[in-house]
Amino acid sequence: MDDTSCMVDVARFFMEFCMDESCGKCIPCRAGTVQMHDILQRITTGEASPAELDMLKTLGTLLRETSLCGLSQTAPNPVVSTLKYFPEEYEAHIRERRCPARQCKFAPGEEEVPA
Amino acid sequence: MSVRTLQIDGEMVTGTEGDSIFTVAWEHGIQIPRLCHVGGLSNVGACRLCLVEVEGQKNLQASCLVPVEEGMIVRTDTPRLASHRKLIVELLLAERNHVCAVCVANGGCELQALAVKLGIDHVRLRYQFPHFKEDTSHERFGLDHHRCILCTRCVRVCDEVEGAHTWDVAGRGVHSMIISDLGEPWGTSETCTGCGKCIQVCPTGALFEKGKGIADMHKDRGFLKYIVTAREKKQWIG
Repeated sequence: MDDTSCMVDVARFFMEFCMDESCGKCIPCRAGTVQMHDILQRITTGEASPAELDMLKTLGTLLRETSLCGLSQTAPNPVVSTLKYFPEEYEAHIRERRCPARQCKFAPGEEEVPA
Repeated sequence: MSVRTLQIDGEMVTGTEGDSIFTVAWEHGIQIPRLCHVGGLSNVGACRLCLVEVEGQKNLQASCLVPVEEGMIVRTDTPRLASHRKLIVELLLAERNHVCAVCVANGGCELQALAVKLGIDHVRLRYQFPHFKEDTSHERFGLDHHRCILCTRCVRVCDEVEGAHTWDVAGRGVHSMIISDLGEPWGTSETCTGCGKCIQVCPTGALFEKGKGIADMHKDRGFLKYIVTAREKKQWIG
């Protein structure tokens, strides 16, 4: 992992793992990992709004504090860490539709859609 | 049986040794929200809605699973718990297709009632709109996975009270679903006795009686208390 790794994509990768591994017994893990992955996915394609970034943080706290087992209590860790040390990468994706590591492919924006 | 004295939301309450915080709180009129617990069945602590703060404990505790202890100080309604509960119900609403307007259990649904109680007027998350097949092969009952919240009440009542264990959970994570026997259609299940207990304990309209219209399905869990009490007191023996 170096400066060509997109931190949002790294967080998305780990969340995808936890989503696949979730057993489905408790709600925060079963549905929460899906929602967190959904938001991270949409950040990497430039479709997420700043409000969704706040929801991502809220969901992270929910999973850590309410989940039944260690899987989901620690599932938000990569998100929390990347948000702590690389907040500018999240901001670049959401506000500027730009990936500092040049890894993410953005969905066509409104202004880019051909008439 | 010894008595335990503890404090719940600032109120001094007493409970019997072995009782859960949840049971003692409800006995004293403190209604902790829940979706997976139902009186008379075992507890799984899966819905995470009955979480409470216990002084001296770092983590939130599922009150349906924690027995009361002498001198415990419990808080059931802090701002943190309220916001967690709200988001958990929103997660449930966004997870599958809960469309009250076309649901048999509209008005008699625990998920709907809880959403109203928690003041959820909109869902801040993206709906997932999954696709499932309904199972209407049984002659009297139907199962709609889109309304299922995987509380496993049906699984437990079928196993613990009826003793048939027709229901079980298949798959994992977001792909979890309730199945009859080994995934066969409910109508051809060899173990199902057709007692209908699962219909009555289901908190939503996922399990319903056929022939019911929208908002027509009213559930009655009175039988559960009756059966469990009769068994405990051995009323049917001798």
